[in-house]
Amino acid sequence: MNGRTILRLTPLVIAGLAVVTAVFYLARHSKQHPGIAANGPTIQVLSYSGFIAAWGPGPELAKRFENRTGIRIEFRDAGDAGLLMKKLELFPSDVVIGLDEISLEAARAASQWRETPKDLSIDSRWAQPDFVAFDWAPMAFIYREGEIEPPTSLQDLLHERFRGTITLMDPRTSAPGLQFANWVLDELGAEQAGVFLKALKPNVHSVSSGWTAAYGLFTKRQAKLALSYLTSPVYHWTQDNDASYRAAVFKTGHPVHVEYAGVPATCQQCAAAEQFLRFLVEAQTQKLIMNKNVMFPVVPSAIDGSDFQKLPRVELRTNLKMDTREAIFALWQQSDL
Amino acid sequence: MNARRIVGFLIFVFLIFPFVALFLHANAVRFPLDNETMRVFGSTALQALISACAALSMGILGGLGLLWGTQRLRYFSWFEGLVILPNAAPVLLFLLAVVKLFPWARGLSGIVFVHALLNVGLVAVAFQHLVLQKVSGMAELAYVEGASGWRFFWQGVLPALRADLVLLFIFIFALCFASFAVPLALGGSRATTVEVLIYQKIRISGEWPEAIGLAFMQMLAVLALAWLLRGRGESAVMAFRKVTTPLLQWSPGLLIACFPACLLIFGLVTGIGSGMAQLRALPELVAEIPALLAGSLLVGVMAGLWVMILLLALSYVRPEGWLARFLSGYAAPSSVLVGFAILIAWREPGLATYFKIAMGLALVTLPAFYRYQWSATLTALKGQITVARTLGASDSLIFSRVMFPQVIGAASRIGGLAALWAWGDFALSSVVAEKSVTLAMTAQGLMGSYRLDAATVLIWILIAGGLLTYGAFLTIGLTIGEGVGNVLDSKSET
Repeated sequence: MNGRTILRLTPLVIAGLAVVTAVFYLARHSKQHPGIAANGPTIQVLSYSGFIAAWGPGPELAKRFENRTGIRIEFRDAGDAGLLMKKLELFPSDVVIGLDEISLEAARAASQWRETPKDLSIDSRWAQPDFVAFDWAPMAFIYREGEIEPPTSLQDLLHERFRGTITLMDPRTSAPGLQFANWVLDELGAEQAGVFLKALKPNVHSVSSGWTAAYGLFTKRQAKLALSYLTSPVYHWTQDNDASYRAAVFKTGHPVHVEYAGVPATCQQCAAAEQFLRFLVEAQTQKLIMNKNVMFPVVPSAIDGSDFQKLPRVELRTNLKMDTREAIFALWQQSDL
Repeated sequence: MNARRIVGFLIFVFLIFPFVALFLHANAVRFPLDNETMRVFGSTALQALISACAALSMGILGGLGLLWGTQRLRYFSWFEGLVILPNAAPVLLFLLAVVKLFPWARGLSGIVFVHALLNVGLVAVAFQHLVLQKVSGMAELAYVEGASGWRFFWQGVLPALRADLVLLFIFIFALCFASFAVPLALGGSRATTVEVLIYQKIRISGEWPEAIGLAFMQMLAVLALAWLLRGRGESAVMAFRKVTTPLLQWSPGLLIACFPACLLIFGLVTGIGSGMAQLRALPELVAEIPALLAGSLLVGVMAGLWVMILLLALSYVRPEGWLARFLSGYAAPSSVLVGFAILIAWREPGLATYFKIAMGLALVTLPAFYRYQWSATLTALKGQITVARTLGASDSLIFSRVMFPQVIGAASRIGGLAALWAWGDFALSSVVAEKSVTLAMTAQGLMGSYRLDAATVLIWILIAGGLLTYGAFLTIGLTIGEGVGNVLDSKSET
């Protein structure tokens, strides 16, 4: 074996060793479980990536629940919230976390759900017979103080001071985008909504496929006004130490995004699943979810002493009904945004 | 039925498996044939057509630049990994740079511009290899006979590579036809593409039967284009060698090839400081990074090996007739659908997850890589195969003695590209995996939770890992190719 061959084989041997190490490491890593209830009951919880990610509320929540009850939680990632029901079809679970007001009807049509406990002390505005709300936030336009004078209504968004500054999401591919289009349709009516969206075009910086891209353009200072959640500024205040982020308050009210959890009728560990739903809406758990998800808690007292109290109070459009998707999509496509 | 046909049929079954699984699983499949859907198909095809033309033109110029670099720089093949990076990183980062530097890039022209930028590196690398494989000998001759570079390019290179360039065109067309984020971000509400419709049916409306029907129609559209453009002529066949003439070199082309990667790096450089700060605030995530790195490495290596083995199997099969036409035009359904097709068949969690992701990525990318370079590599050897057959060589002897030593280098290089893509995948992985198991999935999650800069740091790690894996595959090809060559040489001497 000559020197050149040895030189060429060296990186290959290193690469081979790296792969073998990776396999053993992952095999060991996947067997590790930090909890105390390795032999106790386990509930399967299906949720979206953000909830069960290392920075989401899921891991800490599972640890606390296991320490308290001895019941182990096994999370399964559905990817994004839009894929929850399809994943449930393939992986029967005891609890589903992350349905929203838009997807509840479809969830009911696709599967049967157990009734939720009646004695939960949560904000009655979000009560559902078969789902438990665990956080919520009004939709709002976010801006940075000093960059622009904030809008005060949907009609105000047409003002020329917002020329090329607004970043939106497409309702055909994004739940917040769907909320916005429905908001416009509800507030202005079908005819005026079309006129409004057409007039909005010069002020729109971009329409993205989802919240991530739209809000990314905003935080990278390429847009000055982004459709997001009223609670979004709290993230920048607490994590980025940037106090300039603000939510624009609309006099005519804001639509609300509510996140729900439910127990499918096909659950295997139904009692433990119900126990977990109760745990989700306890004050301490609500604090954790509020801080990690940057959303309002459904137990009002959980907000006490937090930065969420500094957010403006807004009127909510809680009676806003979701129009037919076809009507919303047609409105959007005709808008030429 | 001989072994070649059986292997060919098995590859065919493997590729159409997602459609079969989805058809069998769905209660019904609906094909929306209304005017609106047809309009969307028409506008998507137009956008993809113009985008593919632009990417091909710019990519050929970029390829001439790479040919210039190949002559002057040692280990230049590593540079190819950098040139194709824009295809491996999340498109959002690329869009951030484009929107900042080219605010005029909007509407159809903006979509075409960005698609061309995203794919110019891929075309440049493919064109460079086509020239080295097929027309470098011709280039030498033309140079000796005093032909100008311009004349040789139009009258020599383009006619000789016509069939391969058509396949390359279909490859880019299929990528742009299935594009999603770029048309939406730059085209607005009117820029509906078929992929947007599929996404809408899956995630917003929950209409899976229509989503599967649309994916099938999308595949038929690309197949139809491949059938319409099927090449009639065969390319010139020459042995692989380095170009030694200045006829096919154009140094400014290197700038064209590198420009998109520079744009991506520009998008990645901004925010590293705050990204590090964001990561420091997430110690539980930092503790997970070794496992994520190991997961990305495993997925990348396995996807590369899957693609490499399947390409070698295709070189044994030597596709002809219906199989060649199928491979030239087949487009796998979108990543989400492939992911669900895999889950329908196999739900085992744990280490199997990495294997399933790699298999899914091979399913999605294999037809593309066949069009991208493999078909050209196989046709370049047709003459030698004919001679071997005339001399009475069996299929296995042709594969082991004629094909394998000559294609292993290209198979490894394409396997390396597949590995690089696999490092950056999150769309298919997030459907198949039961939790975040790779850096790309975690980066996507961070972007979706206010932490774009932290995601950027992870993307730097995955780019470095992807390039190292690509390099390892290149070395595998060189080492095995050389080893097999030496063995064959010593056998022929004895």
